[in-house]
Amino acid sequence: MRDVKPQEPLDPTGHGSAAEVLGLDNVALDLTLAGLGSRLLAMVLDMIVVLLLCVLVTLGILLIADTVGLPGDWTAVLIIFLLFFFQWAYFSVCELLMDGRTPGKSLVGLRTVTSLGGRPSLAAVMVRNLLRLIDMLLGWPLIALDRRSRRLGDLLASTLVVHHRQDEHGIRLGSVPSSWGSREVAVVESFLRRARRMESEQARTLAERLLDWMRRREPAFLAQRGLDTKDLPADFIVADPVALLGELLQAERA
Amino acid sequence: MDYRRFVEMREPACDEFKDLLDRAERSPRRLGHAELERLSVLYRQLLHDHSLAAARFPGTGMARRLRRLVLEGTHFLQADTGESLPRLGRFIGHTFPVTLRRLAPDIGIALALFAVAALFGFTLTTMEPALASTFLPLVYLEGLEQGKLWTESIFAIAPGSILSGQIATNNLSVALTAWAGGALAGLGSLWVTLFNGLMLGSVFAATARYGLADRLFEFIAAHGPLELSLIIVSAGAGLHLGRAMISAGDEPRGQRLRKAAIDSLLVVLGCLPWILVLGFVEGYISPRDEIDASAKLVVGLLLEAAFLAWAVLPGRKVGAAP
Repeated sequence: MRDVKPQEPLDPTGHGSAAEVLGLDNVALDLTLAGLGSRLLAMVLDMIVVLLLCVLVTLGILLIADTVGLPGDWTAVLIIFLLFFFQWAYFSVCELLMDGRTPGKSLVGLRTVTSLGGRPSLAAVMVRNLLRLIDMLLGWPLIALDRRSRRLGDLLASTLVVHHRQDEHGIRLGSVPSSWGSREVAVVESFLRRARRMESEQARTLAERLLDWMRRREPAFLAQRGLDTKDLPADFIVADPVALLGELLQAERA
Repeated sequence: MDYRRFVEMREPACDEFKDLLDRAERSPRRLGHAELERLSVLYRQLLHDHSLAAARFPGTGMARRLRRLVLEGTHFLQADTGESLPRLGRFIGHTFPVTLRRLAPDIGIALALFAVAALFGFTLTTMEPALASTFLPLVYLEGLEQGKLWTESIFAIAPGSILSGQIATNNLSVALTAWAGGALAGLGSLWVTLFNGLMLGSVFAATARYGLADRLFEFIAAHGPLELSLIIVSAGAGLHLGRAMISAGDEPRGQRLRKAAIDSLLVVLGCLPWILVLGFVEGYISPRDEIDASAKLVVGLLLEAAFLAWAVLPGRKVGAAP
């Protein structure tokens, strides 16, 4: 049995991607900071959502006012206040209700957390979002320059914006040859995870190569899984090599 | 330790933690004491497992799963509860007045700057009337020449309700901007204070020139005192924030900034409801000619007195030594 040597972290300088956030007992937490690009994208998406909401709500109020018979001036007042509310409170309300996300952030896969990776308080969320007005100008260069991609609102509320994918479902192998270390497991797992999204021809070729490699290296394991290597065609032409690979290694969605 | 044994050993802990965390996230009150203790113990264990897996088994399903669980657990267990906003009753009876009094030096600075700017604007415009056009639109000045205040023409057109709404939302934005401007090392708040002071002084000088100052007084009597107070308090809150950015004092800067931001925000939040009330007053009471000037002044002074009483009285310890 082999162990893999400890690998270098993906970004040892911590510049741009990994936050040096130390959790309990000074264990480093692997928070992936969101950079300028993804945050700008989330912001633009949120702007579109706010715009749509404003239009829809205005139309909705006009429609309801018409059927209920609300006087025109009060309809206008209602619209004035709702537009004000969207302008100042949309981000705060969303981040509170959606656990640190806004519709734009959640589409890009971002989340607001405290500098320790926890859920921010109401006060922190309000501080960082009421300062958006200032950050419209000042925030973007700050995000680009700050080591932890913080804008002014983040600095004052001590929050971070991190990548957070909810659908990060991995594949786990239930049974692997005894000689495999974590590197082999990681390779096959990441292949199976991505195979569904690859071009089917490419996925086939890679699966066939992996199966061929196993036939040469691990005949005992294959026999144990009820597959005699002699039964298999020489060039491993089976109907669905990806599925066969998953079946052999008892891959399951985790 | 090899990967397979690691997975076999730690898998049950992961499943148990996931289950407890899901239930805790749904409603923490449902969990008993023993379960909460177990949750925190498991969190600590998995934190170390996640660190080990990241170093020894990078990229494997188990490492990914541990990372996900740990980040999710951190998000829940390290939730920021320390400086949360108080409940409404406590905010009214304690937090707002006490915080406002703590910010008194900054609010005093804002008041002094505002007064100086107003005096400067008044003197300048009295000496050089042409300067009024820097602060006031030409249409208004032309109206003044014909002996009319610009307020009279606006309020003749729009109904009180719409004016109230527009004035209220506009003033809410001004208060929030005056506070947020503090994040530019106080410069934004400074600008709001000085510009508003200059404008007020200049407007009075311009109206006085055409003998309309008493009419302007009459118009602003009901809403003016409190409106100025609220803008000065918001700008003072912004200055407090700006001061914390420039000099953090003995505390670590991040901590100081955060405290200053939350304190000053609390004060501005306490001002917002009053601005809504003032919007109503400015839309319905101030423009009415049939309401007597002295009655308007009484309304204005009562509002101001109510705000000051709220700022000064509650939250003091009863019987505290002098």
